[in-house]
Amino acid sequence: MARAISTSFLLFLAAFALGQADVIVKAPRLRKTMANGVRAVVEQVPGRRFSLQLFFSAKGLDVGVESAGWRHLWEHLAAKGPSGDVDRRLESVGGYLVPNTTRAATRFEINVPADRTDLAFAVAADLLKPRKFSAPELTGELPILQQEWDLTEPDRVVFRAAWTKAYGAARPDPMGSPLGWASASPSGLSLLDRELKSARRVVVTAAGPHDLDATMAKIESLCGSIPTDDPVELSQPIPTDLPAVASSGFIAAKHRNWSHRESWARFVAAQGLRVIDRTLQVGYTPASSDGLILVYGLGLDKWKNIAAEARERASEVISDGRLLALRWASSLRSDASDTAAVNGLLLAESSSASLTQAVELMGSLTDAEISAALTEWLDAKPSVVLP
Amino acid sequence: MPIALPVYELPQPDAKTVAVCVVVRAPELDAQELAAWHVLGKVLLDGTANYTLEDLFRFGGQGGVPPRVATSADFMIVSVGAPAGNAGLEVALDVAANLITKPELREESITKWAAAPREQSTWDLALMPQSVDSRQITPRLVRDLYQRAMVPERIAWAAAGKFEPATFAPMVESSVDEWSKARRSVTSTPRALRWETRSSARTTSLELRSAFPGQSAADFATNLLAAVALGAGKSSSLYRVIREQKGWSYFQQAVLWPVRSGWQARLFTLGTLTGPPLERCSEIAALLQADIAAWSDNDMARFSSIAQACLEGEFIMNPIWLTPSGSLSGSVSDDAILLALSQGSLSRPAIRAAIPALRLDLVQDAARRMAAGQPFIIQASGQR
Repeated sequence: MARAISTSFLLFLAAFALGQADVIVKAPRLRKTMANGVRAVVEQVPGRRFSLQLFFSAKGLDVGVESAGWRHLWEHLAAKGPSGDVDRRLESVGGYLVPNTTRAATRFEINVPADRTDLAFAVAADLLKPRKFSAPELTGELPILQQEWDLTEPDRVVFRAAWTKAYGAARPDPMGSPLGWASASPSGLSLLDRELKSARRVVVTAAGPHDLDATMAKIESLCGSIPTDDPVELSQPIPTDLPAVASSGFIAAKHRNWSHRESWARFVAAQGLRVIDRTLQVGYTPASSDGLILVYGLGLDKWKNIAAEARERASEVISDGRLLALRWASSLRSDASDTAAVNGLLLAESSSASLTQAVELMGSLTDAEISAALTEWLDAKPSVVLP
Repeated sequence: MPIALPVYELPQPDAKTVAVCVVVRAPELDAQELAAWHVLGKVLLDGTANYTLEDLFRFGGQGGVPPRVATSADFMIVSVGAPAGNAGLEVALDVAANLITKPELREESITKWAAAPREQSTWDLALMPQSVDSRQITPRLVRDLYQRAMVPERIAWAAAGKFEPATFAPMVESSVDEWSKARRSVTSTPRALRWETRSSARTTSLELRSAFPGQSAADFATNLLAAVALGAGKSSSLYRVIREQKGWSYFQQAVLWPVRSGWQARLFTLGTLTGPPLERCSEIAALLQADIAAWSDNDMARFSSIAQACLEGEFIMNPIWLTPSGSLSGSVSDDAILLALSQGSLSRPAIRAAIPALRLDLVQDAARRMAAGQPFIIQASGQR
């Protein structure tokens, strides 16, 4: 039985040491890599909902904003399911499907009441079936993507500018662009479908009040026969039609990886700054490596004043930053959907990290470490990315 | 003589926390005063006579989330959470009562929030089209508005979560009775309201708006199912017809929105508009009417399942919006807000219990009223 061996072994040792060897404690989390390469994590989260999530890793796939946009277009089409009835089936039991595309992966989040895991797996099986797309399907979706493009919100503009400044073309914006979508062909998208559904790219996560062994067995049955095809090479598509984005509405810091203490110290310090000015916001999308922490919001207009006050009240910023960072992590851990999403985003980038590790690491940070990170933030100026 | 305060409670023995909510009905507001109203909501959390901002953040956050203040054109809603039990209830009430009765309203705090430009998304603007520029707001205007709005007859108190039944009302009385008696009601003379309109936009929200009383659980449940059927989820009429068949929008949703006179049903589509907006609104209304006629008993089962999930705060496109901050979450805090907003007439268990008895034809009638399309609200906003 695949199991998080180190965790269960430690639990066994702990029980033995306490003279309670008759008490069997199951690990709250199981992980497995199947023979074909599909990776899975299942986790216990109390509550009434069960979340099953499919991730199609983008690792090494996006060669520009246009190809990232192809994944976005593929997400729109593939999420309807082969029979076009996925949403109706899920919503009939009060469940729902949320598809989205991030830099790490394209994700299909299936949420159902905890007693309807059968339906979640049936829908997942449909979504994993190979698809071929027709020209009318593509052209029918383009007006909807254009509407999404037109509704780009101010926050996203700031994020796009910060990511571009931090990583250039290496981590392109996952929304894509109108010309990029228009350049996609049915055969190209069908090839992309094959590539994304190749076993080496598929990650499945589940969270909820469920039996971990039983759920893992169902995932094995769901994914055990997914083939691993030869990788498809994407060529650079037509040049971008993305307008240059300039924004001074952020200060950003690279979040190198989930075991990097300095990165988490930066995250904690950034959270603490919100106590100095409540109009400041902190943005961070869990990524196992090459992530970005953003401080943005209306307060940046008065950054000089905020920085001066934060220096004077550094000890409060540090202690409140700890509190807010741990609230962030515990809110993710208490929700089945968020837990499954974080697990999948990390695994899609081949990381073995977990939220628990992040919480432990943040808890072990010294005041000196957070203080050093705070100084980095306060010495920075708007539109700067800390390396 | 003690003043009779509207106080509601919903003890929930299985809850892990308690929440106190204070709903303040807004007085009549013109455009500038509405901007000041939003600023007042922000300033309340910057400190009170007894609690600094730090205290509010730490002490008031014991229930897992810090105290919150949300403002709409009709209400200001203060909610405070605390650990379960009567001790927690006292803490939450004390923080909430301080925010209402003893805010500092410091000049620098008001100036700061008034000067902060509000970056609003298309959705923000669609939900609250009356939002206006607050840069001309003065401390005096905000303080005067506080004096005018914070009077006992405008305020309802509610608690939900784990605490001893029948203990909340005496707590409120002892906490704010002196303040209530000392407050003099200030009535305003009705005035012609002035509104600014926006133009030159890239994206447009179109809204079909109607009203319903929603004072009984059965009436609310009927309208909830109609709203679900029209605009909650991807099997809804708005998603299937307006987005997928017509490609006229990317985002669409039904919202049940509390106002002083009851509830509004608001059907939104957001996107880029080609052609005259009024014509497009009429076309949307006609398409929805045709779709409503085709609903069947099979669809009713789906509407009911989604509505039940919405009441638990477990559906992603939940149409029940108690505050502009977001849809019903299923928390004890939202239980308290629903209780106070409805003056004690609505609770999630009561609405849930009313759903099984609903008939398709009644839900269709409610949906037809929602999609009747008068008035149309057209709001344009420029982005990017």
